Amino acid sequence: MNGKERILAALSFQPTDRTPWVPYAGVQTANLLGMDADVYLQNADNIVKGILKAYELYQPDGLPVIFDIQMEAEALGCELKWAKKNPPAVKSHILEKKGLSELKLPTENDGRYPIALEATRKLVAAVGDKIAIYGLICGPFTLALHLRGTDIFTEMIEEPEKIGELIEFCTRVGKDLARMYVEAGVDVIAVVDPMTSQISPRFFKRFVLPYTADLNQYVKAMGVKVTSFCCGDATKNIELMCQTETDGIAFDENVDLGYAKEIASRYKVSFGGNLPLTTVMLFGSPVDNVEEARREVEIGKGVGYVLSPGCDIPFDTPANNLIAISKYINGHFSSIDILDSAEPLQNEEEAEFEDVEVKPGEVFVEIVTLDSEGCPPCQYMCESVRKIERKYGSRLTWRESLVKTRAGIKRMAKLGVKNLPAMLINNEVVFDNIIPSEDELISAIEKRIK
Amino acid sequence: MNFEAITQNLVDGQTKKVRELVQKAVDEGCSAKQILNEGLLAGMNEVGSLFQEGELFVPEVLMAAKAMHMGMEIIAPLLKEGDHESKGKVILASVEGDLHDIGIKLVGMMMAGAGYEIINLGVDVPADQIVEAVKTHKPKVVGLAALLTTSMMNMKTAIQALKTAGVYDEVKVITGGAPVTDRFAKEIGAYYAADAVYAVELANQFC
Repeated sequence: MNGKERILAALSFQPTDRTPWVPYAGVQTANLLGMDADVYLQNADNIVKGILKAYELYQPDGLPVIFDIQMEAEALGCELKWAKKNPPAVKSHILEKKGLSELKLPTENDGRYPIALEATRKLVAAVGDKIAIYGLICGPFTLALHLRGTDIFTEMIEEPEKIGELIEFCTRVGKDLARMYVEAGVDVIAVVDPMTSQISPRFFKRFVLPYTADLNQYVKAMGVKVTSFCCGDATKNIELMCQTETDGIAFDENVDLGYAKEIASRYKVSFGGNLPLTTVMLFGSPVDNVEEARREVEIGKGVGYVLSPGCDIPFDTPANNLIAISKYINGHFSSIDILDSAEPLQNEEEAEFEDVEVKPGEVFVEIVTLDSEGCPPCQYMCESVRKIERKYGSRLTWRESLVKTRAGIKRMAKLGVKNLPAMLINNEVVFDNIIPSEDELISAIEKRIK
Repeated sequence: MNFEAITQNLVDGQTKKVRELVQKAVDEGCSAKQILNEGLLAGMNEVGSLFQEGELFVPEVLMAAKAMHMGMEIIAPLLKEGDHESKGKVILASVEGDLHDIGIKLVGMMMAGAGYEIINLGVDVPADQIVEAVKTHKPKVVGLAALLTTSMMNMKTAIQALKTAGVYDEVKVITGGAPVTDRFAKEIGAYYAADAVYAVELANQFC
């Protein structure tokens, strides 16, 4: 299977040869080019260059052309505030100045639509046979909020018919952009509607479900797949999301993956999008990212699951974190791989792990970890030693050594360690990224105790 | 007078009904203080717990706040000094680069409901403006919001500016927003509130 086949299979709720991987590379690809987000998002060639770079580095099965759900609001007359490290934000809400009947439906020539469509055509020509190309559109509810401002929340209750009309209009805008993207060659339309997590199931049923279902049916009738994205704690609306005639749902770490899997599988709807953006992707190490991906794949694996981040990847996310996940998902990750990375590792003082002299009858256990904080396997490895500590009493000493520098990792590689954490017994590598059971550990120690 | 009806209608976001009932209570000779505490504020407290429990969502909370406001319009002229003692001032802002306003609005409403005087500086507020506001209003608490991983870093900048201006020790800084974590807040010298209700609980500990 190639990436595109894998995504199309997952979105048809069919088995795949391995878990598909879609990094929502948006403004982070601008960073890959050393470019500000505002410059990047306003030029088709920049976008093409950025996405091709992401394609090359992240070995994805699918990629979005542009992750910017302010594009429709801009084309409809909302003023944007541009940022260097973020997609633009909506600054003024057009319906505070104009009536809904005065708004014109955007065409191929309005706002940044021409840029998005040109970038799509070029990307489809370049890699469209290998990976699934996603065209992102702003979901009707979130677009209505962009156009109207937060007053929409109380107007939903006080003037429900007026808000219904507005969301109907936003659905039309979505259908139009979806059609343009499909004509430009995308394989999947992703309806990104983050604000729907802020309303109750009761309002979801009234203001989201019928409109989104209509939009999704329209997209599917064009012969492409459609997925629904949400952010925030959408737990209570997950089942309703599955009822919108969608092929797949995506959510962030606020939703429990196991819970969403159970519901989505019942509806035969694809699911994913759970990698934590801040704590893991932005601030974590490559090993943290692989551990998180591994944990999620364990829960999600099976028909319909797509590994992906909770939303648009933050601008400053280290490329190495994404590269590590892509290597893992493609079956080639080892901790030592980060040696290949161009970026410097943390330049901090390093604990020593020179050979230690071991007296006869005694045993010295050393656990080498890359970054113990937030690394469950590292903790479990330490626990396994603590469990048998009492059995040996003062004959056993152990320590945890943290590798933080490139030189440290090289030294580990010389010892024959491929993955961290690793456990050394009397200066010999015994468990390489494997957490031993109590019996295994005792027998390994017995063999080496002099 | 049975204040439960006011409380219940406020929780249900029945703005007109709340206005009617508050007027009726006034006409029957209930004190403004009693209407405020046993009717309106009791309702806002319940809204807070229901929001935290995931029973109420943003629209319902905003409607309840609207109902509270309608009730207040009637009783505000009748409140005597000391009836509605302010627990202290709170400055709220979404930091520079961040245009999200729902978070600080919700926190503002919950804090006002709990008796704080709110100074909402709005969105996209630069650090020096936060410092100026702290110098002018002398609040007990500064609440900073950021919904973006990038604008989050401007919380750090704002706290640095408070330190440089020598006013950091006079306030407690509470941070919140989707990407913010407890650990991040500690690192930048702030407290972390996971939601609007928790922000009130934190403020109550300080004031």
